[in-house]
Amino acid sequence: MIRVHLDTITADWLRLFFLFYFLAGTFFLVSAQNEIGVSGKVTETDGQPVIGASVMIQGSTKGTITDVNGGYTLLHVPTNATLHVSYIGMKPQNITVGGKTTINITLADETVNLQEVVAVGYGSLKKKDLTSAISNVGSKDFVQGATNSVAEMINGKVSGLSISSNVADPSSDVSLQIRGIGSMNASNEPLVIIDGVPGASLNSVSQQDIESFSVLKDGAAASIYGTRGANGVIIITTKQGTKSDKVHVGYDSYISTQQITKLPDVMQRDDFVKYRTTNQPDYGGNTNWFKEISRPSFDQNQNLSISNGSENSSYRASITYRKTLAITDNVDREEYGGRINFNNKIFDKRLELSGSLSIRDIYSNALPTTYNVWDQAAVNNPTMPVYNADGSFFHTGSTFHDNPVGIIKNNINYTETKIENYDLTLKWNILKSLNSSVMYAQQIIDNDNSQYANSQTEINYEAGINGVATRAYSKNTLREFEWNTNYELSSTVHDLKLLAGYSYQDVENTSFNVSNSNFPSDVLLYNNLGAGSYNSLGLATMGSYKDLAKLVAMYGRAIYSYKDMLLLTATIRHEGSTKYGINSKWGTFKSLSAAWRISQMEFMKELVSKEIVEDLKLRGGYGETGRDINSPYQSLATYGGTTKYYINGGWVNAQGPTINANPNLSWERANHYGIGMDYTLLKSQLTGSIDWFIRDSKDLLYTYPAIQPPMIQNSIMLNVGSIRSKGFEWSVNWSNKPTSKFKYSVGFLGSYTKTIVESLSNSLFSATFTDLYSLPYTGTPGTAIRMQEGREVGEFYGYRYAGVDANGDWMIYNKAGVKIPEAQKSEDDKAYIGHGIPRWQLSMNHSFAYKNFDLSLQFKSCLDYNILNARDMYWGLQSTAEPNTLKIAYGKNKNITGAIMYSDYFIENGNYLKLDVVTLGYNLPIPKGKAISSARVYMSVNNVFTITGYTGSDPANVNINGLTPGIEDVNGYPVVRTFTLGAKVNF
Amino acid sequence: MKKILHTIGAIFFMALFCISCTNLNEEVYSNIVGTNFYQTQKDVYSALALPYQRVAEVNTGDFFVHNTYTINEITADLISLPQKWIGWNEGGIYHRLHRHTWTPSESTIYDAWCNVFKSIGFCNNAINDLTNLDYSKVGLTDNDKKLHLAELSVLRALFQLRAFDFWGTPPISTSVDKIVGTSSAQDNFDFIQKSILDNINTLPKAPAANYDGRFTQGVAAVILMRLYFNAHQYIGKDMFTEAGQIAQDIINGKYGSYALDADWNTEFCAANNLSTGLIFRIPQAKNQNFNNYFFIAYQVFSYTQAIWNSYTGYASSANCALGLNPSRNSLGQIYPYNLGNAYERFSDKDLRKRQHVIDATQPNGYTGLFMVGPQYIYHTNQRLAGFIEWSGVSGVFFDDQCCTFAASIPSLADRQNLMDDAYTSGLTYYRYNQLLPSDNSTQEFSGGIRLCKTPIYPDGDPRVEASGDPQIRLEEVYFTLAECKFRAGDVQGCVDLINQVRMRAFAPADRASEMLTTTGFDKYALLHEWGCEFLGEGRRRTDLIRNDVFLSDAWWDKAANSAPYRAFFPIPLQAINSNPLLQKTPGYTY
Repeated sequence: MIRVHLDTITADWLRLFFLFYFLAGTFFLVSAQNEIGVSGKVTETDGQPVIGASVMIQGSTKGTITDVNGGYTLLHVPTNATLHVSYIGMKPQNITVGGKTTINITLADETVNLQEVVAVGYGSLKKKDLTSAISNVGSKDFVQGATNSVAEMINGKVSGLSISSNVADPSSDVSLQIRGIGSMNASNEPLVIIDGVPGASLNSVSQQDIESFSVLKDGAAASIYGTRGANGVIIITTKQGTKSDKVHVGYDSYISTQQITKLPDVMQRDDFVKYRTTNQPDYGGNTNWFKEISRPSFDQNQNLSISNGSENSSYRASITYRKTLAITDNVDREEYGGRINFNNKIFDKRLELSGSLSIRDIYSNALPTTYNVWDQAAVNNPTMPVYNADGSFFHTGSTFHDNPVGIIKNNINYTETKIENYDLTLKWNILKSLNSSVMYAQQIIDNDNSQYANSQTEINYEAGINGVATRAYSKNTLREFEWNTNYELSSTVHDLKLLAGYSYQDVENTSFNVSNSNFPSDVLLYNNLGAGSYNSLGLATMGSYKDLAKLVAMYGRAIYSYKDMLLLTATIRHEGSTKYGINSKWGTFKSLSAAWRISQMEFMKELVSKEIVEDLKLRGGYGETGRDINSPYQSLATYGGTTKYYINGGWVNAQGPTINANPNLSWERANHYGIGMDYTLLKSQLTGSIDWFIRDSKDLLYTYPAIQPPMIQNSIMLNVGSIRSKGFEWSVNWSNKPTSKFKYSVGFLGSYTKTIVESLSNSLFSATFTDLYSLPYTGTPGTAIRMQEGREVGEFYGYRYAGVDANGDWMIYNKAGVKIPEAQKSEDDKAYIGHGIPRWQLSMNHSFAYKNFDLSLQFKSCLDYNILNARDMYWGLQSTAEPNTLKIAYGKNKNITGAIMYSDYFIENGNYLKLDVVTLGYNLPIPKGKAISSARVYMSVNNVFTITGYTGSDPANVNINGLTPGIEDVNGYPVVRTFTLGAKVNF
Repeated sequence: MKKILHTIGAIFFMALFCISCTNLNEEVYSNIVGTNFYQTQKDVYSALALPYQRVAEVNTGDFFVHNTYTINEITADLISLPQKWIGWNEGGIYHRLHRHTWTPSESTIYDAWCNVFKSIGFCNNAINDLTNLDYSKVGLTDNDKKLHLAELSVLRALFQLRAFDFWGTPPISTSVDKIVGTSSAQDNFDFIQKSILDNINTLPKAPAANYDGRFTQGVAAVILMRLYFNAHQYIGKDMFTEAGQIAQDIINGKYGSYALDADWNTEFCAANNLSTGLIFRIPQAKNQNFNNYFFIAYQVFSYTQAIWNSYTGYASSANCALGLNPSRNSLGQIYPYNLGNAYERFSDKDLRKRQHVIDATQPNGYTGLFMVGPQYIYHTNQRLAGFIEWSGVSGVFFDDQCCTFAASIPSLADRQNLMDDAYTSGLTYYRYNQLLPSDNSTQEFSGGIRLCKTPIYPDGDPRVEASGDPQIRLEEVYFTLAECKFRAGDVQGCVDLINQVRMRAFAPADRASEMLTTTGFDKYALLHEWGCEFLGEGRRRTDLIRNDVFLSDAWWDKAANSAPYRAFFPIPLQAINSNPLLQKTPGYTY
């Protein structure tokens, strides 16, 4: 299969560069003339001999290696030949012989930066050989301190990568997005690959076990991942054992605590009694609900690792323990993780067996799902006491609200998650230049959730139900089989790397759940489901589910380099998935990218020799990728129906088609175009890159109103529409020539992205706009965001505020710009009133090291966007449906008595600048020969300060990813500052 | 050489393995794929059951908002869905329906469209599947097949009649994949008429074995009767003679044997399988299916029914969506409209004009059609605690008004006084001393009278969720015949027929004095009788249109003289957007 596709599709490229190869070889052969002998010495800049350096006659396979004194001798060298001298870690040099018989060469250290090995998908490349936009972050650059997700370790380190998370909730998921948004119904999250396993869980790996993140941003790089590459790819590589004559033991530990810096500014008793008791009862108490539900948080993370390696085998093993007591009382999370990575070379290194095994158990008590306790703490009546005089929970008397302390104490939402990963790779080094490997990997995520709402929760109390218990178990199994073959052909001039591979992946989800209610005692919790009475009443519920999706792909890649000057990469992937409609199971994804190392050109020679320019590379590429459908069976007319009907003397399930079949359903296509430049300048002090990109996302999956009749269900999932993201991103790093005492570096990176909806229609289905984000129920203010052809994604669409009238009712500007009372408004008066995606996302990293101290500061900024302050909208008006309000209801908004209305009054500028992380470290001076080889202590603070005009919580806490960005939803969650104290010791 | 051969061999082997793993057919586990659905007899009945299961939603409209029920009742004079403080505004959609200012893009009208055509789609799909199915393979006969296809055709005719009634020129869709445009009114009329006439004789006559919950000749005859009865609205032609003839034939037993039940509530109670008056009911049973959401839509948000009725089945899903249009203003005065005033149209002696109570001493074990006035904890004299607007006040009172009393009274003590007065007065309204605004935006959460069309039994009662859902009742045939007689000038004949139905709602002692007479009996009197008998059964708009008062007359918060084109709903803009073959309904501004 592989061969077929290489033949049919890449054959033209192959033919082209074989022709090129042949011509080039011929040229050098015919140009050979007189020959002489040449000898000399290769030394480092400080005069030390370089042992084992390669001295080759360029354009031939002739060459030698320097001896212990750095000396070399070459015979039969053409007088006009060029010598290519290279050594790992040093900058290679080309020297024209020009008839000289003695040539001494001094090699300079190569910039480490350019030698970094970067994972590129099914292999790795040196950073200097990259032809596409890939950012690599190694462990030394990770953000230090406590994080909920390992992805936060590269927050602000990769231009174009946007990370959103709720820091204060240890069980919250992180949202990742690369180069803006491209899809409406498919996922916008990048594909995550951990040690070669696509789709692996970010939760399966410990912070301390990660060696590097490689972020494949453009299509040329991600195309080799086919239908899953459109949102970019994040490749995580874990640490391996290295060759060493002693066993390394490392201990890495931190503790952290969070401090609440901002809460919704709601009224406390005195204000409440003054303003709200005309409509709300005064229960006589005085409760600060936020205080009642919060506590000092404490997080500890311990990691112990051991690693070693010899000529033929290596291993690294680590164990991790983490315990988090969140700032919300009764919410906690405990994790136990273990990982072993190993590599063995057998049969004279002919076979390599490598693999890893990792197991992680997570036990968490999360927030109850029935009410958001922080919201309830914000809006509940502060005159309510927590407890009645008899010690029982005070009940609110309305199922709209529950006693916040009761929410935490009367509910259990406990989850045990077990993530098991293993992978095994057998690699056969057939020839020095040819190897073939097979990999099998499996990941199982077991999730066992138990919930119990006891008889004292408001809902159960009102309904007289003695407890509701639910158990839900789900299992996600991912299996991956891969077969890769690599071939490498290289000479001093040409370098060709070929890859062909086959990949099979299946993902299976199964789940079941059971719920019962009304138990003889709350003591049973969820541990005796059969004891509830709802079972016998026929009101208990249960369910189970299973699905399976398979993905099969064949792929190939060719990387060609001519004299390190011209680099070409071509990839192709032919892929199919069970999820697609019967008419479109398979697709082919191609990419081509090229790089031109300008610094290798003759005209740059002077700049290069003066070290003004060290490396300068222009890149460009085109890549095709896809976005997968989220769930299987979307294309089939599956029959279903659980409602029973009495027919022919018995009860049957009334069944029929549950979705409109679409045999043409397929992946979303995304075509990426990009050009970029990588540079290393001024004696390696200035490095960085800049990239321009366009991503055209087409055939977007979208649920359209069906043509009804004849279609049965009122919607159908189709591939219609396109979105274009355009922008540029850059990174600039400046660091001083490090001395032993002082190092300083500053990095400034950022991106500008604009995403435009190009079309939402095709010949059969058409729409010019779609409204998103239904604002919550109270008062039904409609939808917040409109996606319209020709406009940006994430634009707010609503009324324009024009003050209030004498009665305190809203006034708005109508379509013609005339002030009218809110009662006269119509849909036509709505307008675009802001956009929720920051066009500019910037970050700046400073790091200083003086003697044993180091200090780093990371700033983060988002500019040119708006935030809808829905918290003010729902809680900041006197007419709010909630018992309590924000102070502004009777302050800034005191003249507004109208009901909730969505207008630009609540849209604010979201621009901010934040000192996100400060880390101060100290490396203990350890004399040589001690058991301890190094020790470091550090302290870091996250969320140090924020400069912003935004009046809501913290603009950085507002999600800016996805289709509905920039909405501070009605949420009482606090903003926190995290203090971390850590130590790392190596033995 | 040997090494190379080994290499090639190994690669070849691997390649074979890989090629074998390229089958991408989906394996489905927790769903059933259409192509292999029909395995046994039971699957045939499952497919047949699906359109039947849709009857409640399309015929009477079974749930609360967003469907056929809403647009046929809220647009008329008896039921409304006002904004309750900050709830149920929904962008003003129910106000517009009530005030006859709906637009072509209302989601409720589009949802009704989707519901009706989904039902028609299920019929077409089942007709398509069953036509192509070899019945002998599942142990059934060709006669069964003929019968099933006849049932499906009549079901489709019922759904099409609903579409016809709503939109005037809806498409006629008889295939699973052909995209069709609007059809003329005459084509719709002919299609429905033909669907009945071609199939009625294939259906059995009631009573028939195993035909509870399935269509018989009587159902088909009622569909045709409805078509003729409203023919003037549909095709501009009076067909009251034809409608009356079918009604008379049904009463005479031509399409099966039926008789009026002895009590007004037999058709609604748990034992309605014994009713002789039900032409079509959907059987229901606890733990099997219970779709009768009447009481959910009329219940009280954020308060559990357990306290009212000791019934917990739908405790968490209760919605205080719907209520009766108020009969009175804040001072307690009755509105002067010819229509509306739903509660006050009932005679004071009417057994239905009472608080709904489960009471073994009453016929069929319960009495009262409403939750009205003071409310107590189930079978006690203990007041319920006031909620939302009335938080902190002792008492919940369902008033026959639509005003924000609590919000108008700053003092909690004054509120309590008003509540106490309401409790002790024995009236169905608050006695307030000021005239408050009353319209679709001034409801309280606990405001308005709630309708209990079917009884709500307490927890543990074996009758809980056991009432079949009454869908087509013989009373409709009597009333249809009565109206036909009225139109033909036979007022006495009309009144006699109505009295046969009406007398059952009174205690025997009251019956003589409560009989209607021809004196002053006009079309409004006739409409009031339709309203009382079929209150909240999802047909009011059609009855008003047929009597030419839907557009012209005023009632609470609805002005007189709506635009003539509002006799039909606009074909929804959303449907036209996805199918340009559909034509816009004339008159509406799209």
